[in-house]
Amino acid sequence: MDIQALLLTLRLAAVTTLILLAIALPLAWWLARSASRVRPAVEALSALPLLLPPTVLGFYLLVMLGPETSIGRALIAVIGHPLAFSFSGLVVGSVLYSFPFAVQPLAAGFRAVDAAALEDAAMLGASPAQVFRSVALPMARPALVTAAVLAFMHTVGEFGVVLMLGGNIPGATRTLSIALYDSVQEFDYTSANHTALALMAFSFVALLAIYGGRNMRGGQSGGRLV
Amino acid sequence: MAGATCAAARVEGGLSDISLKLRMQHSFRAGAAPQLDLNFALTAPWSVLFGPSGAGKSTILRAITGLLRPQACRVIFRGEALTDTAQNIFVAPHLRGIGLVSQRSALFPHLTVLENVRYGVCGDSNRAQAMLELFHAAHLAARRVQELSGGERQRVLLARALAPAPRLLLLDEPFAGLDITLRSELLDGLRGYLSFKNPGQLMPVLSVTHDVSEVFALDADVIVLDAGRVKDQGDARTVLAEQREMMLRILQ
Repeated sequence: MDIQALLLTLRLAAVTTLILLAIALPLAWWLARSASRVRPAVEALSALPLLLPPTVLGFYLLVMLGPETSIGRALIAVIGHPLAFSFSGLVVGSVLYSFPFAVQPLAAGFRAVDAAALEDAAMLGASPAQVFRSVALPMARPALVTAAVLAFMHTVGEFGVVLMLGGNIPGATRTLSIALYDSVQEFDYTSANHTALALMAFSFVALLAIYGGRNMRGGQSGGRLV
Repeated sequence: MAGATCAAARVEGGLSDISLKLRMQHSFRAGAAPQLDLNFALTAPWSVLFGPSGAGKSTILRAITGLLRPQACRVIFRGEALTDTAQNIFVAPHLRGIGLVSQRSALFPHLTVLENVRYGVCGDSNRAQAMLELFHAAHLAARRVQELSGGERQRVLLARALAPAPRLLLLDEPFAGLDITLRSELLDGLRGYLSFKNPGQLMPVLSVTHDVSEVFALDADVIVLDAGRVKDQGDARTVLAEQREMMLRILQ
């Protein structure tokens, strides 16, 4: 198996997950609590990557991050090279592509938090930020685990976005799923089998982490996907 | 788990003045005529809002806590405006120093009983333990809240609400559905708390009920509500005698 591809995939998934959680936590909290009129639009937009073919997303990102658009040119001016066909470009693509997998479980988890508990915390003197940190977040912890695992695994398994946006540069954009595709193209089924098995085992362990944790917690609501 | 109120700068008012003045107009549908339209002042150490379900009792308590912001509302407590829509004054709920126990109240499921009670007192376990003792619940301290019975839950809720020494205690039918023995035990705990407090720091109590027997048991000042209006206010015996017609309706 391609160890370099494995390490790159893990690095990509880890970076993507961290960025996703940082964005998704406040957004999901807002989605779960807000009565704003723009909420449905924001919710739909954040779920869009669920339905969008990954190649479509990859294609638009490729065009947008390349030198043909003003956004792309501005980015090139700032960082010195195009984001397309680079690790950073993959991170941008992965964050967008896995976005719903972090936001949706978190929003569902926050929605399941008893509003009365949040009000009680306020009546005991907790500021809104303290209520979030000391009550909402711990109560939605199973959802947080689900969101992190799903975002991570979804990034590990992505193919279309990577292929469109990153190509196949060893050490920079060649992830496990690309390596698998490559092996098959070269009729190297043994190598393909090893990579596929590794990916499958990986996914199983991730799901085990979610369901095992859920069981130990006595069936607390975990915030399911969609 | 760390508690919450450590750095919160509480609103402080006069110690001997315990008056609460409320004036509010509120409709549950935007644009409709106000379904709640009332104006009253409380000066007794214990007052009761009494009226049939749907009279607006819980809404009034939520307006006092600031958890609800009515269309037009003024809440003056100890001479200080907590809410005044006319002057754009609104003190955030967590800075009001008000304790609340309602039927909706929920113990934090991720914390033990003791951790729940010390949530509002910066993790002060001694204080939390003392509060639990007051409500004969010290033995529950290490329990998970999921393991509590309904009565035990109610004891812990009261202990938790009183731990931060609120300046005003609001009770929204916290004894509903509890048997007489338990109810009088909880009331004793509450009276115990009120009496061992420094007399200079009176904590007025405002409770809500639609249960006639509770009104007499409390021996409090009564405000009778019906359909969002104040019908009468005064001593329990006098007021309730005059409101016989409504009482009959409630009893049916």
